[in-house]
Amino acid sequence: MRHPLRGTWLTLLFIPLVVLGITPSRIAAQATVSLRVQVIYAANEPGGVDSRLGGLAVDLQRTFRYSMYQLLDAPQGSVALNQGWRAGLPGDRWLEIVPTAIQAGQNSLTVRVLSPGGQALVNTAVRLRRGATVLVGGPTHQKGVLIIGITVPQ
Amino acid sequence: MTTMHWFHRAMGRGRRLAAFAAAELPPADRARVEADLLACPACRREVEAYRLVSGTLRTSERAALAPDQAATFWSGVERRIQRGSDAAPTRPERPALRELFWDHPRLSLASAIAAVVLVLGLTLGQMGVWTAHPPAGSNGVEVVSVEAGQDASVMVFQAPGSALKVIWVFEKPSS
Amino acid sequence: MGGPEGPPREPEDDRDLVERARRGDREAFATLVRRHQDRAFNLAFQVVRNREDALDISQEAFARAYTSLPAFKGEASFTTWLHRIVVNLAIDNLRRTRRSGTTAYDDTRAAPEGGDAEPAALEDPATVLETKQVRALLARGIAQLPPAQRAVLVLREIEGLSYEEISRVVGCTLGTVMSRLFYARRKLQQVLREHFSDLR
Repeated sequence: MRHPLRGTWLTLLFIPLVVLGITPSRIAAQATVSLRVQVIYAANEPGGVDSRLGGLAVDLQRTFRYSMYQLLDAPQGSVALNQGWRAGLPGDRWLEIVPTAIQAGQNSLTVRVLSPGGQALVNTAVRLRRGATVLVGGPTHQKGVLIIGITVPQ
Repeated sequence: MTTMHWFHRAMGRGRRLAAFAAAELPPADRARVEADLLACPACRREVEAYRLVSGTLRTSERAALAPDQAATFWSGVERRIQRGSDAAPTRPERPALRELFWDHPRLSLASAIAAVVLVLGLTLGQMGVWTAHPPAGSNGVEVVSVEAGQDASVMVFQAPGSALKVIWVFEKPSS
Repeated sequence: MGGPEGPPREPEDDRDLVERARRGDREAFATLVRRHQDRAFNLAFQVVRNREDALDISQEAFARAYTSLPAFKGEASFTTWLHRIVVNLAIDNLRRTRRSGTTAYDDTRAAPEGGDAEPAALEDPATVLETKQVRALLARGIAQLPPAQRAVLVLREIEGLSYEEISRVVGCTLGTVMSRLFYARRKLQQVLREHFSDLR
């Protein structure tokens, strides 16, 4: 005998099946991560510390011995998990960041600095709490080096 | 230490003796060391000690997981991966479709509601609502892995008194 | 020759499994784990000489390898990459336990509880005794080595890696590897020579 409420239950069944079709991984894949990058030129040259560096300036001076820190660029953006986000760096280099996971307020990122030919100078996986900053530094620039600050803003 | 032994050590031959003992010298250097050893009994004893070190270490017993540890190793890894990802409530066992939706209409409604709640729970778990995960590193930064490219070497450090963790790339000078 | 299912399949190599794992195939990663878990555990143990810590470190290394699969581009072998994570975790463990004063270097527990750690019974007892003494002395010497030297020593003398492989695992130059190895070996041979008069 045909169930009296089969139509209703089938409709109600259909809804969660559609919802369940959006699996957690796909939901996670649609999650986006905000990124804030500061591209800094550091050298032993006159010029002092760029005031636009804000709170980072103090830590830079505690960490390094350069006499000049100049903010060259401050690209920002949002990118979905497992998608690449790129920012140009001086010298035809590129910074590539791929968020790979969000875990309880901590963001797993892979970060690469790419040379003009596309080879990775460095390839690193980091985990950042929101608001924390990691520095990738060392690529030569003019008379000093580049220091790249990467933050996932609050 | 005899004069000859001291001489050999002063001439930086300590490294050569160690390499000789480990059979890591090219043939020409090996022959030279062999000749030196003929005149230096203390050097011979030093080589013997190096050989004893390497020989003993190379025959060290390999550590093995206990059978129960080996059997549950992967689940231990999975737990660590899960701890770092979602910590959603355990999924309820899903009854057979036919049983739910054809024979028990009330259960089918309940399971439909439960399914929606489950999806919401998993999504919130992904966003970290349920977990109290230990912070990544003392300053919120953890460097999980780092590799230098072919034309570079890399170092990770944190200066004393600074909150910043730094991944420093040393570019090799272009020829 | 094979069962009803046909001839046994060739085991997938690590690269294929890593590729599948990167695409979300967790079972592929589980296969990698089962394939390499013993070696990872042994490597961790040989550095930290503590079974509980070695189990912790080796499982953590695989978990970290899993979460950073996107960063693994395949330039090095999976084994090299995994070993790097194991060695770094082991070194961190040593530094932590040294700071807290809880260093425990236990040379007698390479085997699990109830296992047989003794050399073959047919060996002459004097040799057996001397070997035990040497192992104990080396254990004390290794415990005094800085973590970075200990790691390189283990990779070379116990794991049998080449200098190039070691430099890829620990992420330093060949020169640094050779230097650390020399200082580690020198320390250990000094320990033996202090104890055995016929080596002085």
